[in-house]
Amino acid sequence: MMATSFGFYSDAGLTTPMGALSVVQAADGSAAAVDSVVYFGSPSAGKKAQATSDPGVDPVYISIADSAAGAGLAATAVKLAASSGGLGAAVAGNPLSLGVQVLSGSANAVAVHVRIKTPAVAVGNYTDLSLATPDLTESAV
Amino acid sequence: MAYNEHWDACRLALRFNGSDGATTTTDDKGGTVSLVASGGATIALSNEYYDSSPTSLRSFDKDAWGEVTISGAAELGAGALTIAASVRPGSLPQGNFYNILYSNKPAAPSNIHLRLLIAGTRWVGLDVQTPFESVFIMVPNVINVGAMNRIMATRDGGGTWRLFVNGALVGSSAGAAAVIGLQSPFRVGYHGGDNAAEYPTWLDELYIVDGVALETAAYTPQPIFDSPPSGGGSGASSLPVSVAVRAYGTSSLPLIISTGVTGSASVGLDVAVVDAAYLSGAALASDGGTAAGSWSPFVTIGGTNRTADIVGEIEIDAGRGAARIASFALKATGTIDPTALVGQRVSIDIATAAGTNRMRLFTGRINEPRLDMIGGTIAVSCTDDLQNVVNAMPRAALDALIGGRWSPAVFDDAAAGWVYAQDRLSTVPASLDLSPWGALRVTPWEAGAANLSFDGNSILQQSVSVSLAARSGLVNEIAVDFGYRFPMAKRETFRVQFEYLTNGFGPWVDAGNGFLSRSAVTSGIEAAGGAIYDMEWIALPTTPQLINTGGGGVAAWLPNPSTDPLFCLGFDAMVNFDYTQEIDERHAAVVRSPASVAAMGTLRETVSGSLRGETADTLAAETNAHLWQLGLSNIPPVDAPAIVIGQTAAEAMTLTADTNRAAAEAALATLVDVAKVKIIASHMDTTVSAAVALHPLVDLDKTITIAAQGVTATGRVSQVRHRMSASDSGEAVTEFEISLCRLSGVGIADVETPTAAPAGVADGATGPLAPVICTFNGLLGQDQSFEITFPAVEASQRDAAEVVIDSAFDVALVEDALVIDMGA
Repeated sequence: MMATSFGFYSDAGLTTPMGALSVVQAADGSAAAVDSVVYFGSPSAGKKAQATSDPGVDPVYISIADSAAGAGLAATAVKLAASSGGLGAAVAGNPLSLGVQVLSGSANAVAVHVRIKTPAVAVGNYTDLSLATPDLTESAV
Repeated sequence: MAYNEHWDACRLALRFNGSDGATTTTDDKGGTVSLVASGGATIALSNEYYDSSPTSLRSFDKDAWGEVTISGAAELGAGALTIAASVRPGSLPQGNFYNILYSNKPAAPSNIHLRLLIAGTRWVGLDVQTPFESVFIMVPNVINVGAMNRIMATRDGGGTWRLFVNGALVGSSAGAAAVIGLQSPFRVGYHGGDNAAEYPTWLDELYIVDGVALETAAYTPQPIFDSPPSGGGSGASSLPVSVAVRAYGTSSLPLIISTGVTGSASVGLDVAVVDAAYLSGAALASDGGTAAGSWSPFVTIGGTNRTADIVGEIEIDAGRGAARIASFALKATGTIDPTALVGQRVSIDIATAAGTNRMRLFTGRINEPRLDMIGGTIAVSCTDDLQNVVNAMPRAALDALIGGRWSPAVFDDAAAGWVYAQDRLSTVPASLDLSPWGALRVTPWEAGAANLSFDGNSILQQSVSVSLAARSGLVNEIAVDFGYRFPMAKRETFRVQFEYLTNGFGPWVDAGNGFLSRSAVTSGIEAAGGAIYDMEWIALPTTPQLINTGGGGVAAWLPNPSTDPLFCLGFDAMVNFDYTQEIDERHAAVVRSPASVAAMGTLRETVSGSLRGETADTLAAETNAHLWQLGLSNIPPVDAPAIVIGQTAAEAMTLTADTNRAAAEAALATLVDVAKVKIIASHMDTTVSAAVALHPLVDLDKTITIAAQGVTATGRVSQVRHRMSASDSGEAVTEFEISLCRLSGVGIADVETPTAAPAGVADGATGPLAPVICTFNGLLGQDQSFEITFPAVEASQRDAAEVVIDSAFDVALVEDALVIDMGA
């Protein structure tokens, strides 16, 4: 359970915490990629999130975590970009840097564009992938 | 352990350590000291005055001394030399002396007599006699009786001797070119003088160092070489350090320590991989084709699968531009807290009976639980929270999502969120809603190509119905009445050319007439409210003039440089009059669908708006321009119409960003688009409804062709309802409605007139201006006055003017197909 107020939301206003990003893909890999947008930020006022490893120096990044490497879906089924136009050039499975800090408030919400395109895989619901940040330190601006 | 820097150069270190009463000792540098006493004299090691070493050398009277035999070289200190010792005299009787160190080798080759001593009346002395030097330093009143004194004698490389007592220099003498060092053996602690009264003296820490080894001690006195640097020895050691402490004030370093919570964030990816046929809609869990469909719902609450708790029917409703809602009931057993359900995330899928090939139908939150105590169920109603999601969005995000137009002159400038979105949507023929996955989307009303087609094989029996729009609900012409009032800067520019000499200079002068004063001209112009833009005077002659006086006589007129410049024979002036005029533009824009008007007659509504251009006070602007023209102000006016001679030039004044021409055009364009969307919306009330086995792809963003039961229609989905009854009837049905744009079947697609505001009142010039009248009473006997009369500003130029501007815009309507075959 995360202690910070920063998280993923389904709307730019940061009112609806996103429980999971749900998409549908075809088992034969024929479905078009599904592009979605999730918003990373905090509805709290006057906060900032920095990487705990070296606050203000190390980037805050969104990575694709795979809880079942070698099984389920591979992280390469997911692309991340800062814009919809950037999804085409994004490298599948690569993390997305959000800079050295993210400020709170809906005005500072970071739109994370997600493209999911699965290869031919068995029918089923795959929940082994997630979008995750490193350990963050939330402090006052 | 502290260690003196001179230890390496120290040749003798007599510390007199040993047991109390011992009569022999050694030094820490390898020398030996044997204590010699005769005739009842007493000399021994004593612990009576322990300073830091266990014992010191105590001697009472003469005939007792310590005989020092040094190892190694027989001569010490042949160059620079330091002799230092701690001495504690019990008393110092007059006439008595105590040799700290006594070396007496009067004969060659040694030839040295050296004594470092203390004597009665608190003297300290140094006596060095060699063939090369004679030094005798005796300093009184420097020895502390009954206390340890640190005494030191140094000889530097130049032969200069210096004497120190307790760190203070008390005497010195000039040096000698050559010196002789100490010879071994020599005596230490050697009493001399009248010993009638014994006076004990303690000696300790006697060092002889090659070189000038000033001890850096603040003398109290402290022993320096308590312990050798290595190789044994014991005892306490200290390195006295003189520390001068100065107070600089306090200092502090504030520490700012920020604490913050830590943690990571994550969101799971839930990827439903389904057979391609389900994804395309070719296969449905609810419809087995030739066999019965075998399906199951999949409901999660707060991420937990609660499918097994579902009772009764699950219903999901979505309508164009509205929140998607869902309702279902859960069985309730045991102790429950239904309030904990409020706000919980909900997802509803339809899947095959095996739970695979899940297709999303709803994502949202529980809005309200209702407890049925008798039935033992909790009925929940859920919403996708569309309004709250939009309410939280900033304007920039909504602008990018919706597009369209917005003007503060048309809509409430304070509106935000949902209201702001609706304002923008009123200019766009589209709807805003959330997808079954909860993603915001804008869906145009126009049908376009069909995404799905249902025929009699799919559409449930007797489910097709048609609702036709009534003419009374149509609007095909909207009059947009938009008023824009704004000030224009005006400038009249007159060219006044005046000469009053009717028959030449000579006759004028001969007649005794007067000259026109320049000040009268300028005063006259300014009194009339004009500002002189440019002036050229016709000057009086600058050379003498012959005047024919009649009768053949001749006179001379002579110029007067002092007064002639005050007068003129005429002038050529450019004079401006600046003022403002309120312009009231009345835009009468007609937005219409010609095809609909032709088919159904004019069905009219009106929308209106207005905007007033704001600037600085127009009266002040007039005054400022006039003062500037008169040269009485250094502040140029913000707005200055062009100078067009003989005409009235007009120029729109600089207005605020919210009220200027661009803002007015934006407001008018917004009203036109609002009118267009109204007309389009009113033509989309014809609907066709049908029902199919629950089809997850049927949604508000789809265009569907229905071809069944005598009805063929294609249109965009405007309503959809999914019903699943797993525990009761086993029914899974989608009921949907498509909206059609209809124009009585005329099948015409109008051509859209792009929305663009017509040009308003432009800057420009009108004229000509009426002539200016000048009158100079300069004849002999007249009052010499000058009068200039400008024509009055015409009312049409000064009074508020209303300008009507007409424009027309056609709305594009694309009629959707609707064919109804009632059969025979």
